[in-house]
Amino acid sequence: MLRHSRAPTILVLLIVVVLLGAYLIVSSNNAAMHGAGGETPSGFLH
Amino acid sequence: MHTIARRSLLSVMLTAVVITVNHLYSLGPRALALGAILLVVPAALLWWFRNTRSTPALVGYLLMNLWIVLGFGLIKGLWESTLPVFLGTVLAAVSTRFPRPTLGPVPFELTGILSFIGSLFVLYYAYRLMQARRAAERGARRTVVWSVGALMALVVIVGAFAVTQADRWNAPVNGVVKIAVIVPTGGPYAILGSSFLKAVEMAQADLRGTQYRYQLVIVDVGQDPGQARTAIQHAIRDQRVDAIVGGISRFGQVTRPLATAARIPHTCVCSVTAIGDGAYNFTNIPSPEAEAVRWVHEAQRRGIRSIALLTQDYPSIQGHVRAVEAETKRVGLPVTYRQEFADTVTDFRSMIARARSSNPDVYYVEALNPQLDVLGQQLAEVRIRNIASVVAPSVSQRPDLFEGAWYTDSNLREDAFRARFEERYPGTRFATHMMPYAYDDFTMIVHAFERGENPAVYLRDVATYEGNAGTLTKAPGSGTFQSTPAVWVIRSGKPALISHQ
Repeated sequence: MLRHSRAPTILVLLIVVVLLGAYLIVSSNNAAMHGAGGETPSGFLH
Repeated sequence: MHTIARRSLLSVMLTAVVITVNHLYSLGPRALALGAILLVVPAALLWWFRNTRSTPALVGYLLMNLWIVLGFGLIKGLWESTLPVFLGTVLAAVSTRFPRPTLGPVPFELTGILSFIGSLFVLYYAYRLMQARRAAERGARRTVVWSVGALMALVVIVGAFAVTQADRWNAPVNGVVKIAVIVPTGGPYAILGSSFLKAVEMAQADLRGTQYRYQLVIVDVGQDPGQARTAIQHAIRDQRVDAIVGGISRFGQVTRPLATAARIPHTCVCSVTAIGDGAYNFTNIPSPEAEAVRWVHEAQRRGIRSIALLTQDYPSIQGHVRAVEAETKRVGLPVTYRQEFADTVTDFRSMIARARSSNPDVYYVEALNPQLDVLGQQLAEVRIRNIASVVAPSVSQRPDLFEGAWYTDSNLREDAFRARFEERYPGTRFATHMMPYAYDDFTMIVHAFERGENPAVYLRDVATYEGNAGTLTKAPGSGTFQSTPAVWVIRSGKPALISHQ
């Protein structure tokens, strides 16, 4: 009975951990790949 | 049976909602129609089955489950989101043979992963539903067989993902390396674009004793980035180019996703550093911070103790002014006057007078033409000659107005490079902040092939490169080549390099 009651909780926790990890990875990846998004001063026409 | 059916339908409906949100990014409002189908059709089929025990109804319901599991769970959820996010990131961290994955917005990727997780529930309850239908529960042994099978399938999928993601060396077909040159050469881009093209042609002509033959594929992209896509796609798909060298950010932004999809390297003399993702796209031009540090260093060397700023309201100029102000603040160099003007202003006399009354040691001037030359003319009228800037005087149509002005611009390792260019292309204007980078971008691609390395992997690995623009540096994982600008002066109406660094 105890095992049955814990299984869904563990499953939900696992999913939350996976999503949290994905959130951190995607955020840092996108920040690194898009840089500061700035333009250099010589961006007159570049 | 009823409980399992309810749970099966619940898992289908929750997964359908997640799939719908995920597809809003690719399909827009049409994703709602997809969601309606995924919600209504399985519910109707299961209701039919539960009321009639109809086999076609159950088969239809299970087919909808199969669509969700295979189409959305495994292909989109696992292969296109879950594996790139987790395994792709790990592989890219381990080896530069693997590109850093190109990921979508956070909600898109999270719903992709949730689609995969949801599809596992859909698969599990579909299996339970079939078991209940056959009333053939065989206990733990069947579960073990399924678990082992699922684990093996996962291993195969993960292995296949790693194999397909790696960038490998492929010798060029018939010994010919095709390099696309993507840069506009008309209208407002005439000076920069033509300089870029000629620099690449000069780099190609300078090659001696190479193992492969390097063929330029000049892509006519016109002047409208929106229409450039078709020409770039034609070069990649039909002319099968091996690499791309390009310039001008608006065109680099169009090229970036196409190069990524084709998995070929794209170097760009682009001021929008976001184009350089470090996977297949790399930018090569000094940053505003590098310009600012060099500018302030030169100001200090000249004994300048105060500055007045007269600058145009334009994004890239604002970015530069921010960097200069931050650097002056850091070293304690006061700004006595600061005025930004719109591109409609033609009379600068009152702001020049106010700036003069603040008694600065130097007037920092930065604007686009025609404002730049009008401002230069009005400064000359009141005999103000202590002018400094970044790049601007080099693009002036009246450099004589800025006689004696000093400014930072791209470095040139050897002035002979410019002399060779002017000798080869008499009458063509030498765009300092375009030429050496275009030359270096081409030669870096050549080096990759001559070394027998996949060119994208080679560019990811480059930490320093001794080029015509001096020493280029790139941080690990970065897509931006950095370089240190040099100090120039307008002498006899022409830019003259006075300090390499």
